[in-house]
Amino acid sequence: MLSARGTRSLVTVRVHWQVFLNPRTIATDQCRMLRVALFWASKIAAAVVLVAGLPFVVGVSPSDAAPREGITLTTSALPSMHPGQTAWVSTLWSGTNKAADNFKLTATSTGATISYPTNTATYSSFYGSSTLSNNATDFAALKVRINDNVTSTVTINLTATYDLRNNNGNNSNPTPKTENLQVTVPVQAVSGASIGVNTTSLTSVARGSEAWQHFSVTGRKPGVTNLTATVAAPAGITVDYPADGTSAGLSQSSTLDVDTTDFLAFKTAVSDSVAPGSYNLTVTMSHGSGEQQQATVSMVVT
Amino acid sequence: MRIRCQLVVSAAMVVLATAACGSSGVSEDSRSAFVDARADALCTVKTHSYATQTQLEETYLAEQHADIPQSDEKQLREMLDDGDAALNGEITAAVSTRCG
Repeated sequence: MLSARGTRSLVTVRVHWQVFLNPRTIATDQCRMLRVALFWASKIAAAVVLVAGLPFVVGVSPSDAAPREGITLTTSALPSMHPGQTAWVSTLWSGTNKAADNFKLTATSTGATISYPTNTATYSSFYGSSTLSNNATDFAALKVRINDNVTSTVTINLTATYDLRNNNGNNSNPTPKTENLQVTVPVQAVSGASIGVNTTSLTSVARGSEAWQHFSVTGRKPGVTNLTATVAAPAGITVDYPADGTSAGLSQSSTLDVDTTDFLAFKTAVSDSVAPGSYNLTVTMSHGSGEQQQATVSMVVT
Repeated sequence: MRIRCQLVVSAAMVVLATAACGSSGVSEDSRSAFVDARADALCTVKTHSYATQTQLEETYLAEQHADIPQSDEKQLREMLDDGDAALNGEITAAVSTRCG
């Protein structure tokens, strides 16, 4: 709070400053040009300070002065996948200072097959809703299946449509937007066997008893269809298959997809004549059009 | 007249200061933990693939959990539901810092 005396002092300073700078108050010709220059320089400096300082007063930086028109895809590369693999992946989007409504994302690729969440079926949208609020980040998910014969990076072409609000409230006066963008999927080829075996030892079995066994496998390469398995065991150990069959099948599907895990079930019965100890069983897996793969697992007889 | 102007200015400054410091009643620690959890959840689903849609969504929801009082969590969720631009902006900035 200024006292009356303080206020008078400020007024006096302002008057003296204006008298000094105002060309109409200049008495001598010798200083006239200098004082005129100072007068206009002060006006220009004030204007420069006002323009430069305005963004800081309102809390925006120079780069924010011209906001982006539209929302931004912040994903450039999706997680790496294998040939033949199917996976759900997420594309992240960030909003600008205007909300976006009715967001729909579709995708195409020559190296992959794309599908969408079940609730939207023909497109994807944001996890939270179809609206991306001001400054928000949300994701839109896609189901991607890399083609079996792909050996390098896959490009996915995205088409995003949405209505960008121009006003808040009920009458947002939206601008329809369509953006065509791309993301990539690094594809890592797999060497070695088509089937990964996760089980190295079976459940132990006491002499004169039996137990069901789970033999866990994971798909490594595409094309593992109609997978069945037979098991060869040492004398005294009998192997039976579900439904009195001649082989074991996968529990969920006859096809073992890439990077999915399933198991084959069979029963081992041990006669009284088998001595306690560890025994090796050979599992022969057959799939596709005659391909075979073998694995050895141990089983302890007690 | 001058005193009235000063009162008006003072009141405006109090309003601005309150708004700047956050009028939600949620502590800064809770807000920060909430923002971190949301950003972590978004970065997790951005950098991983999932066998099923359910796995993706369950992971996202689990990662959103912040160890903060329920009342703060509820209030911050409501702020997001209402499209709070400042809170959304903090999450977006945290995502940018964590996973680009």
